[in-house]
Amino acid sequence: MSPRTAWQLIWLLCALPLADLVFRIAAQQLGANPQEAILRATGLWSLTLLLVTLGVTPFRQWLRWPELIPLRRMLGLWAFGYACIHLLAFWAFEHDFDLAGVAADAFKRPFVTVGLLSFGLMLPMALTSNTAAMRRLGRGWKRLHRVIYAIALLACVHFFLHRAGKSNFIDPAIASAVVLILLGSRIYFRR
Amino acid sequence: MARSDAKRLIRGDHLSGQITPESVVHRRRAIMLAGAALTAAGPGLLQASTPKPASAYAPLAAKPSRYSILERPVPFEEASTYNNFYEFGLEKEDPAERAPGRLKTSPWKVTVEGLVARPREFDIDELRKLAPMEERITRLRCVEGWSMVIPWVGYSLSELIRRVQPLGSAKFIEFTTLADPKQMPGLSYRALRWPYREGLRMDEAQHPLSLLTFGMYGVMLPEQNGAPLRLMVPWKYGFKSSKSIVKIRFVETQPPTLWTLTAPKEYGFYANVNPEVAHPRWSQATERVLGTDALFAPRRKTELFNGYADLVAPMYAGMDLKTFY
Repeated sequence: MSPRTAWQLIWLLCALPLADLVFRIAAQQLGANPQEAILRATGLWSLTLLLVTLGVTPFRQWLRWPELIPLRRMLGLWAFGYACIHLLAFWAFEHDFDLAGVAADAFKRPFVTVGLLSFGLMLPMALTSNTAAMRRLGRGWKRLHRVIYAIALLACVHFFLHRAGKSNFIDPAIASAVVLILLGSRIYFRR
Repeated sequence: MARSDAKRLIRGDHLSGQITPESVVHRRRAIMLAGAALTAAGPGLLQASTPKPASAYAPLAAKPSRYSILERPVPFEEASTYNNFYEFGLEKEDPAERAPGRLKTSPWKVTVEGLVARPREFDIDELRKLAPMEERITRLRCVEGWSMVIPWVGYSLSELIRRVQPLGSAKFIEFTTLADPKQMPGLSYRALRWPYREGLRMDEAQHPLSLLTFGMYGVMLPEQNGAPLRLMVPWKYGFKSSKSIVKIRFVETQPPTLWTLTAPKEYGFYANVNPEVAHPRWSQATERVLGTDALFAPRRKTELFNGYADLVAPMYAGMDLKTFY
């Protein structure tokens, strides 16, 4: 398989959860609370793809496989895409498109604050993900894009807070472990 | 809502079990079409489980209640597949998938004990005959910020309380849910303090609105909805309405509950529906009304005591509802 085909295949895989969601919405198969299902699925996929994005560089170094580099941007942008839908769904379903409500939540509830913060940090990264920005920013680009670790950790905290009610921390613990292992390996193998 | 339905609801003489909202028919058709399309497309992306319809359960006759609200219930399918019943798993679809076939609701005994003159064990069949059944359409408001209108069948809990003659020292009642790991796979989840225990103050339990519930939609309760008997305390968040009750104990002091033991900052003992008292992670000012079909339907303004303020507010006169949440 050529790298180009692999890239396209992975692009399609990233689109699959979204396609599934759209299909289920159209078929009214999301159960009694479709809004909640949309919020949860997009949040989960954003975090999952964020973790996969984080994994690209360590794997590329480990496998000595430079062809993996272009995947990083695509995966990261998909993570951002799911985060966008997640935020839109929050704004629409939890606040009836009322910005003041979102703002009030942002100041009052750490659960929301952390989620918004994570999204806010994703924004400059998505905007500077194109080649032109990479060239213009030079070495600064690399520094800027290390923020992804902060984003991932904030997303994990957001996930923990989401599960606080039932104390069901298995999934957020797995996600956090992945982030910490990948971050640790980056620091350990730093050249 | 079709106009004729609205009229029937207002007259109060409908039988909710007979309503099959058009939306459900459309939805079923959509699911069937989608299923056909998927089959044709080859590997199935999804598999839709087929939940049991209301007609699969034994009927439970009841007369209409004056406490019903004039709103259309959600489809039975939604009320019976979107449940919080953590003894069967933490996801909303878990109880509908795991409770039927596992939870054995017959024989079933309920122990009534503690500070009463006549403590005794009741058989579920006897309890069903204890008082005339009423159908009450009420809004179930979950602490998670959603609500569902459901027609419940049962009678006021006070009917039972009266018969066991509580002593003057009885100030609270504790309700215990079955906790049998053989029947309930969710009990292996140790972060919650099983068994599920809930409690009411004596006056709350004796209030005619507190319904000892045996059925819904004109039929016996499905397992996932708390068969064979549960509570429905409509002015409180749903978690106060214990499911699959095996023990009712009259006590002198406020009993600890699963939620006040597990997450005391999030869930209080009173748990009265109150738009002014926020949950730490979300506001309770509004709620998502389930069963509307419209993805972008506006949220509903949550009412104090879930709309029953006229009937229940006097019980809390002088109490700070923010402190006693």
